[in-house]
Amino acid sequence: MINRSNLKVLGTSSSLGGYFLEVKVTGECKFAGDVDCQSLSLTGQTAVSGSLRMEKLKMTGELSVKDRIEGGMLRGHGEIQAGNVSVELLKFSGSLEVGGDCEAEELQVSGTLQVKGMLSAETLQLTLYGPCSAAEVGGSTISVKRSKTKTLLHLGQGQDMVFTSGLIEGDDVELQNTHAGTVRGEKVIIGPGCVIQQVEYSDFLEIHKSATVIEQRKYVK
Amino acid sequence: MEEDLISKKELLELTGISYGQLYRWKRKQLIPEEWFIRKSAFTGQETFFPKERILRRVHNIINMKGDLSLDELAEKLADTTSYAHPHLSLSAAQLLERNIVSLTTLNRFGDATAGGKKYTFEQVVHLVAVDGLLSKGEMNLDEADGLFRTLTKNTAKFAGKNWELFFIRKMGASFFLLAATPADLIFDDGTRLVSRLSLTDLVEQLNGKLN
Repeated sequence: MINRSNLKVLGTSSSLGGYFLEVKVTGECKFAGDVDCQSLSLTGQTAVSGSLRMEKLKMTGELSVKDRIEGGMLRGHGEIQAGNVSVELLKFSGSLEVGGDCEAEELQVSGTLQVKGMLSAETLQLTLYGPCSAAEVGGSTISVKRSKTKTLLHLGQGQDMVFTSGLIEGDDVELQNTHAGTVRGEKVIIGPGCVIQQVEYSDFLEIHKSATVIEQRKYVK
Repeated sequence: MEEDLISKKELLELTGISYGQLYRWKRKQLIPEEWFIRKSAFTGQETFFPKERILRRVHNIINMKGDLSLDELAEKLADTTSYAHPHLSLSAAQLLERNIVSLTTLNRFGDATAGGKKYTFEQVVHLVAVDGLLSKGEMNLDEADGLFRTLTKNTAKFAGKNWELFFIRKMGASFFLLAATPADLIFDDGTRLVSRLSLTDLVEQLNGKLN
């Protein structure tokens, strides 16, 4: 049985990492190794130079994790940089940068998102506030939309609000402002501002008049 | 031996599963990362799978998921020792009846293992391995003897961990290698990899026939 205790950091501090019950950081904290905890609440700046495993994470500010973020719930605002992400629920606004794959059962991100590897989620909701990209996207329900607020506030400057991906595959796919190589799905809705090389669908396809689809194909399931 | 591949699209058509399911199973590690083989095809990048293995896996997942949650299923698939049936024992008649091992193989190797009685799970796995290679015509009977001896003598050393069998030939001489998985072996130019079998595959194949 691992002995777990609480950790509270106020101000600037560092820790070796380890097993905790509850971790609270207000200010700045560097963890020199892996962190495994039940709940984590961060305000300010936190860096983990190993992996992070938690049941619950709530944050405001900046978080960087060198290897992997793994666990249950991740929610908050600010900036996250991580090697890989694999959680149940990811609800985040701000900027999310992942060097490898990003996986969640439920994923809601508004802001910017850069995933070098695969972005995979049961339900995936992405609201674009700036340039976003993922090498590949897969899931059941995929929705990519540009932010209405930003479009209204900065009229005519929406050019950088684009999601770029090589391949998007899902059951229900709805896209806006997306540049993609191939999109495959049962039900596919290509919204305004999209440039797609190839769309393959089985049940339903709708293409907005301002979108460009070079090639479309219906396949029989 | 080059394995038969199946494209993602063909897989979905053939099994009736959806992209969502496939990605969910991948996230839950029900389908190993290594099985996703990326190749460039004329339509751009395509993902392929080892045909036999993925079809068997999908079949097993669909069959088992009624009783188990995906997480339980992942545990079961990842852990061969529990996925295996440690207490299983089958008689020669059962092996034949369920088409697990052919009569030829059983006649040649059967008595050596159990004195005409019941076979343990491990022995059955060995028989399946030998039988598979023989029936594909990749190995002759003498080699089969060697393989069977090697397996019987050595697999216990892996103590429940996953292993893989490599069957290679060079200049007509054949060799068997057993390695703990995952292993990447590189052979010199004149060597031909005749066959590659992993314990997981064998167990899965067997489970498919037992269910």
